[in-house]
Amino acid sequence: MKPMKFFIATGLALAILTPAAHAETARWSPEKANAWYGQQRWLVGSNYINSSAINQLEMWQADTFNPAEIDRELGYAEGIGMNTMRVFLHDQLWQQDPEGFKARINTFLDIAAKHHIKPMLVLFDSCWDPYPRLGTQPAPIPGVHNSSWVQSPGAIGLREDNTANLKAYVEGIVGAFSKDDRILAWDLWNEPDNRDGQTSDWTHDGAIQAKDGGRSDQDTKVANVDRLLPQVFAWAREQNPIQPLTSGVWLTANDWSPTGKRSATEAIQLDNSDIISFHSYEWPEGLEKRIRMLQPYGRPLILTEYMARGNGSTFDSSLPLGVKYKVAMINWGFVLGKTQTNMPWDSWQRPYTANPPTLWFHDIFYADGKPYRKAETDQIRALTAKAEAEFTAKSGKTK
Amino acid sequence: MKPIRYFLVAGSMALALSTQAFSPAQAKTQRWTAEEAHAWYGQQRWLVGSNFMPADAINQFEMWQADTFNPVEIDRELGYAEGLGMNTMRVFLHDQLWAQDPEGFKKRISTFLEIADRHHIKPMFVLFDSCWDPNPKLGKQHPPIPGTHNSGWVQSPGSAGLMDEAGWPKYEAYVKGIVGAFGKDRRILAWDVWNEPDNQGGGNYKQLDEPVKIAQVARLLPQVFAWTRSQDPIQPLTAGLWHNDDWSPAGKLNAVEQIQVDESDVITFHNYDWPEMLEARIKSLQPYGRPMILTEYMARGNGSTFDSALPIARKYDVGVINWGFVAGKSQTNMPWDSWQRPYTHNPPTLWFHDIFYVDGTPYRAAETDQIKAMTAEAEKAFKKQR
Repeated sequence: MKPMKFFIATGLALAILTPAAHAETARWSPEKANAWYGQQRWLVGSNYINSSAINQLEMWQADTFNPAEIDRELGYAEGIGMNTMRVFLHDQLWQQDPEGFKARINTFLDIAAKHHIKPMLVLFDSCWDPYPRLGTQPAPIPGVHNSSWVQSPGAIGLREDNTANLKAYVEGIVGAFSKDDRILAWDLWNEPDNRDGQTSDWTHDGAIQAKDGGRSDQDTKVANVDRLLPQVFAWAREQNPIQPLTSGVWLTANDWSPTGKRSATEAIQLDNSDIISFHSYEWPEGLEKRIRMLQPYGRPLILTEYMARGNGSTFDSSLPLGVKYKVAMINWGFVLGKTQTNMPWDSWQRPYTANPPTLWFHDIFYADGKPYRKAETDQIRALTAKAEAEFTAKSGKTK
Repeated sequence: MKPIRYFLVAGSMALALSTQAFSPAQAKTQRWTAEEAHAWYGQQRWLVGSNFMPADAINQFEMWQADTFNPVEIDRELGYAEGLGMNTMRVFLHDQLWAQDPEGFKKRISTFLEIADRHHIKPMFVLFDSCWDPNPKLGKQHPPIPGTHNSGWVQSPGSAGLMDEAGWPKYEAYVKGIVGAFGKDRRILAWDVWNEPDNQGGGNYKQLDEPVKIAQVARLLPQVFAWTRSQDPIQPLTAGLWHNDDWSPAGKLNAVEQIQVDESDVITFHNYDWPEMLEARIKSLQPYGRPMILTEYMARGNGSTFDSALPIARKYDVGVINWGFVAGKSQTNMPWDSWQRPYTHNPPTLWFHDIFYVDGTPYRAAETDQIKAMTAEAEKAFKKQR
């Protein structure tokens, strides 16, 4: 089956039948994806938001965009040999000020490139606050994990009548940076089918709780995501990007293997991604099981979220699995800041106001660059140095 | 320097003992030499076990009192331990159980030892304990506080007993009675004479002021060692270090810790930290030149896991005894911070301690697989060596 798919998907093959301009708008073949992956170093990084930003809007809006801080913090990343960062954008930032947003992304990419970091950019996200609002962002809720992270597009933006705006955003951003080799990849939608608790009513403008505890609203959300996600892939592809596209699977109750009972969303993600990305905040045996489930797709694997110390997912045990299976590794949380992701997930039910959590849940550094746990930064530095030496020996390329 | 310090700390009692020590009649009541300790350790398998309390007991009283002593439950649970290849268990006794019914208590201990022996498990018994409820009361025990870690565990002797020096002869009777009865019993591995002696107590209880408690324990602990030794046990004695920064011979040990390292035949210690901290602790204790047993470890939500701790212990030939075996009334699957924040609405993200559900299902199969594999490897190595 695979060669057939390859034939249909490959530009050369299609060139005979269709205009050359559309040649690359099909999904990458596994061969192309693996060739691309072979050019990369062992990818190691963090999900990144600068410490003085509470969410994507505060990170990127003109008033609060903070290149000096980003520069300092990406210096910490370079210092431990990291070479990528996963960074979240937002559709409303595009609507607010497309040119300014592009300019700030460009600034960010310059800083990152200076530190030898090629970020993966995330376009949409189904997690946390479903009502993103531009402008001044709220202060953190004391003792609470990621208390103001915003969804993109969010409850209202997901409606059918907003589709044109989302299309403009994807075309605008991917179009502007599609040939930019400072960027590693496009993660089109973070945890698209995340039902995200019962925070809101998905059919109204305000946070009115639906009678069934929000379940039907969440069904509406996922139905909208399933309608949009294939389009998002298509819009991004039409820009003919040199970077691979992906959207990561994350629901660990499900079997992600090609023969597994994948949800509709997972099928869209796994069948459209050039490189397979996934999340695992599990014990190492859980992570290993996930890797094995995804190997049959025959594509590069990128673990785009992991590391929750209080949940059994540590650098200690995850990174060696990344080395062993050649999986790229991007943990959640970098510098402890306004997102307060050192607080455990259960802080939403029980804020850690009187006492700190037993362990930092995510995050690696204090704002001043001091590691939370030196054994971890030592380990990351040692493993990335070893990988870099091997890469140089193999490719002749140095940083 | 050390003997001097010891004199100063332990006062007249220690002085009396030290002078007596030179008389031949007391020859066997001396601390084992490092060589004797190593010879003993060389006879043992790699020691792997858990701190053990049957699931239906909230504390030492409920485990041991006649009304609630449950050999059937103990038998079933020690079967789980045997299934993992465990060969020891750390088990807590209590002075008031002796005062209540010495003969009955001895009988129940004997029953326990028979069951353990059947499962090839040699327990380490703990005589006193400075942790949790400072006001132990015999009789019916209270039910667990919902969502709270070890909510009924009792100290031995507890605040009142510790302060009432006139009453200390009853602890002498307890120690001599128990160790006298079982000091030649090969089914027992060792005597841990006092758990975390200088622990102020923890929980939400009104505890003694820390300096007061440390001073009292520093007076009583040397006597406990001496009473135990006076029974000339075949098993080694110990009391484990558990806190403060530097345990090395050059470190600043407090009065109680100094007694612990000076009197222990085998060095025991606790560590609930990340693996690099465990390794640093082991290295800090190596200069004492004695066998080492890690008598408490494994707190998943605190970075201490079987995954990383067991290989380090094996590497350094350290015995390992984790906290928590079957999740039960002690509720030690709840994190320490449950004392401040009971886990009543939602369970903790991870089980903090404990290995099994009551029915013997492992909390995490990867752990029981690992323990099984490592004890099997150690058993093979032990047999080969012999």
